[in-house]
Amino acid sequence: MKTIDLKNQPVLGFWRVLEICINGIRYRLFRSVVTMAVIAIAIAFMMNVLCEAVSTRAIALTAGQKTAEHRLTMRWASRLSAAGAPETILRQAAAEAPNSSLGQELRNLGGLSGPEMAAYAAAAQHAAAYLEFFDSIGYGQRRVLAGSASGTAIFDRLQNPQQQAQFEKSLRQMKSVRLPASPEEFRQFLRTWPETRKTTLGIQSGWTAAVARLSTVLQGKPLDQVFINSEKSCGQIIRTAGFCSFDQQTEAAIADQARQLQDMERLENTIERPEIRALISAYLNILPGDITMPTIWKLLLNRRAADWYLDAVKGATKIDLGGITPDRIAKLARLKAETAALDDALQQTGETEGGFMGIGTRMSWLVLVSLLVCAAGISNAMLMTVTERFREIATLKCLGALDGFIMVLFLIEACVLGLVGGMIGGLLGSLIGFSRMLGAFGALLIAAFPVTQWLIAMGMAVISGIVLAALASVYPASIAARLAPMEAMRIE
Amino acid sequence: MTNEIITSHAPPGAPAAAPGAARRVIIRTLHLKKNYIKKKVVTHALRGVAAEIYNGEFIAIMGPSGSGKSTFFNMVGGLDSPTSGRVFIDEVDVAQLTAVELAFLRCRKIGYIFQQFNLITYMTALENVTTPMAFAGVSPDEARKRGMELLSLVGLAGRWSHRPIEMSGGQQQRVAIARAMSNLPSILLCDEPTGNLDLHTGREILDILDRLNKERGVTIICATHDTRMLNMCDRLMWIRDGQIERVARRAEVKIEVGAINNETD
Ligand SMILES: Nc1ncnc2c1ncn2[C@@H]1O[C@H](COP(=O)(O)OP(=O)(O)O)[C@@H](O)[C@H]1O
Ligand SMILES: [Mg+2]
Repeated sequence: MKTIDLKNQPVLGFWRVLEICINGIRYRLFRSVVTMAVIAIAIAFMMNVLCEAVSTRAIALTAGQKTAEHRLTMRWASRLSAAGAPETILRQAAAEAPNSSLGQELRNLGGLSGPEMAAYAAAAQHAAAYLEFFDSIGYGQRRVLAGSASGTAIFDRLQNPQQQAQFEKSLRQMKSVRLPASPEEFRQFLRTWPETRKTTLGIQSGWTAAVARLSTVLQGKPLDQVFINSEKSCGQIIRTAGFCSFDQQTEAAIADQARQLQDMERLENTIERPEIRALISAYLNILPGDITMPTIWKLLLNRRAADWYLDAVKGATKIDLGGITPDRIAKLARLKAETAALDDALQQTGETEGGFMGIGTRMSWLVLVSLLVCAAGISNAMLMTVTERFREIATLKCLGALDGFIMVLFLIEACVLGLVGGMIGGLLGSLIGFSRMLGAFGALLIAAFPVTQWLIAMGMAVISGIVLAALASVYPASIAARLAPMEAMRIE
Repeated sequence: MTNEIITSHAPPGAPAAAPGAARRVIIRTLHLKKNYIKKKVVTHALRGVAAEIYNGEFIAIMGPSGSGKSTFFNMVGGLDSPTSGRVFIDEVDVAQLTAVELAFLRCRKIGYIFQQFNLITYMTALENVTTPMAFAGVSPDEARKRGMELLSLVGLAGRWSHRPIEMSGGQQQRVAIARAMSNLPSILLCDEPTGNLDLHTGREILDILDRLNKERGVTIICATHDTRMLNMCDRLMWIRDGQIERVARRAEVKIEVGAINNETD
């Protein structure tokens, strides 16, 4: 029997197929635009969720940092008025390098040599990890493992061999709880614990002594007054008492903050006065009962209002505000607003821990759901465009097209639609997401803008647009391409 | 050996067509059957068709609608697979071909013309004509040249840049003919090429087909209702209920035109 004298069907080059494909997209412009719009909307939805998620996380981090800066005065006030608990000391020694200024300070307070401090810091790191562990497990489990003890008392309790055996037995039985080290390492740690404890208590008593020295020098003056008034000498006094990490920079920042706090307090005191309240209520045209601190701070953001307020206070009460200028008032109001925004942000972005890209478990779920919605939307749009072209697929096959050509044609088309739709959607989603976040957090978002994460999210959005479009288009196209032409023509 | 079987199943009209018998058989079908199954209802569209079509002839396939003409057309063109039976094109069994070989066959051996034209909507007339050439590996310049020649052959040189929706039915069908001829196939399969056209444009299409047959020696197989076909075809084949009812040379039929008219309309 004869066979056809066959040369293989040539495979069309990529550019030729792209040309045919673009030609098709241009011809079906309306349809293509609609498909692209569906893809764009789906991707925008996902991108919106992603943007809010990554900026929430970034804002939480930045807000946490900034709040810590704002609370510098408070932190130092407590540090200088009483020695820390053993747990605090251990944690600080673990977190700070031995040669950092805080590490130096602990070393001085405890009267340790360099190598001693290094050894202590290493032991403290273990201790901090185990403390973290005992904090993280639930109350019931801790009760089984360590009885009523908590903090470093647990380590003391486990010095007893009987207790230790009991502890290890219980730990083995708890499947869900894992020590951050092997049992052998923990035993080793417990053996050295008395030593570590002794050093810790040494540091603590050194600290107590330093506090006592300081209060004798200060003769009972409140610390915030010290911070504000004795600009030059106060740093020196504190350092001499033993707190060597209280450097000039800290000193200046604290003096600044303390003064701000003082001024704010003074302003807030004036507002308590009934005659001032009456004036404000007339100025704002609201009932005196409705005047709250935040309303007034908001009012004072405006420099002209601050000016008026200063005059009003002078005229009505003869209170001396200690040379506070309207500019200063406006600045304090801004500061107040910022702290309020930070508190607000911290509260709103509270539970962002773990999950995908560190955006929190709840947000991860939202992203997943948005991805599913996205997949459903895109595949629906692509399926529509492909199934309505089965006749074209059949015709191309009648003209001698290979199955591969048809697949490549649809693949390229899907990629083009997915790419364009994905980009538009990504930008649109970012715009919506970020402007919403901007509305909620304002300048804080700009300070914390998560550029890298945003780029990653954008890349993921565009890629998922392309992949979803390609899958939803190539799958039906391949089914139609593999059928005999007439069978493909019949499906409609 | 094959020849014996073929002869024994050859349609009754064929041996009588004495001058044709001397020519080479280009398409041959054996016991061709096709059942469509839809929701468990079986339609016997073809019930064992054995036919021989000779190289260079113009054969009209006639029959009332639903008789199985299109089904036969699809089987012969390798566009659908038969339930049983075989189709040989140039003595090659179509069922044995791989996907690539089938593509090759559809690309260069056979040109298809459909009742609904089936042009690619987003391509211009010229692009429609040159697409099969691209599949055959013809260079774009050469394809363009040949495409323009083919378009002028069907009288549409001036409309090469028009898209299908900008053309009338007759013009679209002429583009389809040019497209079918793009790789110079030896067989042209037409399924009711004039079915969607008015009398006048139908006439033009038939003239072009006739010319292709007479001047280029293309084998034309044309399923049709159109009795004007009688004037140009060499042979006629009647199909009824999926079976060949009769095969006859034109000369034998001419006298019975009236009867045919009654039968087909
Ligand atoms: N896809 C199909 N599914 C089921 N039955 C079909 C299908 N295509 C054709 N048929 C049936 O097969 C028979 C032959 O159809 P067809 O070959 O299209 O006839 P013609 O082209 O002569 O009008 C008809 O009875 C028709 O109903
Ligand atoms: Mg038909």
